[in-house]
Amino acid sequence: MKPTNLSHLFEECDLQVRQGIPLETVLMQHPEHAEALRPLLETSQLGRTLAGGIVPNRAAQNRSRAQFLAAAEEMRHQPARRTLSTGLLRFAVNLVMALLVALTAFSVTGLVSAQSLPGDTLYPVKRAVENAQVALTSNPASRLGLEETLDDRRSFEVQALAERGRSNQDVAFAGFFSGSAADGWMAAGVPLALPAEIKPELLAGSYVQVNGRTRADGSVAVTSISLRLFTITGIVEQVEPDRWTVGGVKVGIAPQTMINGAFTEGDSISLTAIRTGTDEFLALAIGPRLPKPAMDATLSARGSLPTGEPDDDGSTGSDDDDNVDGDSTDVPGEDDPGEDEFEDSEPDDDQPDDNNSED
Amino acid sequence: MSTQTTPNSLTALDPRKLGDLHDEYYPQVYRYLRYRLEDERLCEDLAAEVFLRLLEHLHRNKGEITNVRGWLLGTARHLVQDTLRGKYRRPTTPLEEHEHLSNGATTELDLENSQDHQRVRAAMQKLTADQQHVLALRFTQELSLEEAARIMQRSVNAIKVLQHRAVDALRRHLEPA
Repeated sequence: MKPTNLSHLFEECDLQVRQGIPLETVLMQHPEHAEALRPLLETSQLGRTLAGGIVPNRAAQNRSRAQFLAAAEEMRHQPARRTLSTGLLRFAVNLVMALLVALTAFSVTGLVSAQSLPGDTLYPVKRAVENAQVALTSNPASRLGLEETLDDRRSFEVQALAERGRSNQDVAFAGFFSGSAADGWMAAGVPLALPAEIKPELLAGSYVQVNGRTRADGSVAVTSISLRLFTITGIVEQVEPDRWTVGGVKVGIAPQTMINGAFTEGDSISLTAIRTGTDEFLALAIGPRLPKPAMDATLSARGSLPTGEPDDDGSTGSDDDDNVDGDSTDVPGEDDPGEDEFEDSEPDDDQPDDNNSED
Repeated sequence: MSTQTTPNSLTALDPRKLGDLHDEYYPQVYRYLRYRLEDERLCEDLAAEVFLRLLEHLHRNKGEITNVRGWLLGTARHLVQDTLRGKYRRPTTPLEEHEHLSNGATTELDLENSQDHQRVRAAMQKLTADQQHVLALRFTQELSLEEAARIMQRSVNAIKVLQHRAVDALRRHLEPA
């Protein structure tokens, strides 16, 4: 049989196997070529099975999404190119050079601090960089993606502290509350030691903010636990009876949601929401977009469930609440600055040059 | 969302449409990269880079893309080739430094621990670039022959022959020496 014909036959048989027909049944239809086809079909099956096991990391996907949308936001607001006078041009060049020097220093520090954990000397630097990234991300969807990534990072840090046996360290992190009385309770996969006053059943399934202290057994002794509140500021894009879309984020509306004003598409608003699922939010209160000082005041008044023990952690507990309203330029990406770099990876033409995927 | 041409919302960088596009295609781009490259974090970096390049293209050229998935996978292929040629580098740090960042994706860990997977990956590296590309497209994307042909800018028959030779070469490299 000519190789070309065998190629056609292989494709035909491979398709049948992919559709669920047993290999032996397929081969029985072509007994004269079964010997040649069998190893090919088995190799193809092996290749497909292994490919099917590849699952992207959710946090990495969210990080990429936030970076993608932040870069898009920045491009949307790029000013039109203007002709500069010589003096202005020289000033601009000097300004760019100064910024480059500042950014380089910032990136090097960021690189070193990126791996730091709570209690490390450089940890405040890492948090300051993250806070700046959040503050500079004004697009609501990008901002939520960034906050989600940072929430993941906080819980990874707690797990890393446990793996390294670093107990008695103040920590603050967020995640879905889960577990049972029999198996113990967790938030973001971190085992919790809860004060007796807490009724964990009331929190089951909620997305919570936890403040506490690491213990030798890898769990966290909780000092306070509250529903994690999200502040979303943006333009109303769609109003439906049970759901609004604000800046690309879909937020559920309940009969109990306090709507302070009459809003319609195009209005600029601020809302406070809780997270009810992986990509689901429920609005608690909606109002006109607040000026920055008022927004800060709103954010400081976070709702919390009574724990019987006040949050005595002034450092790590408070700096996780970073929903500073930001209306300035976005920062593309939220990865630790300087952590990775592309070096000369740009192809001569960064478009696929060997396919017809674009005009 | 099945974006086969560039709608105005994309060239206008509409965040909702871009978000939908990322949600739909990121897993496909990542699977392609991960099938061809060993380093999980490198693949995550490259997947993010693919989307940033799409953005740059939309912003700079304002031109139509007739097949968004094809464009993304084509760019992913370029980045893989750059990586294999040593053009793309990322700083290496001890594994222990990244352990705490792992999300505990057991499926991938299981995969990594699989001897079969190591053998297939090693055998894949011995194929030509086109052979690796066609197998990664067909194994990870479940593309039809016609789609693969469109992406690789070849005839359906040429793809059939290339695929057959690629699988045969993979089989030979998987045989015990």
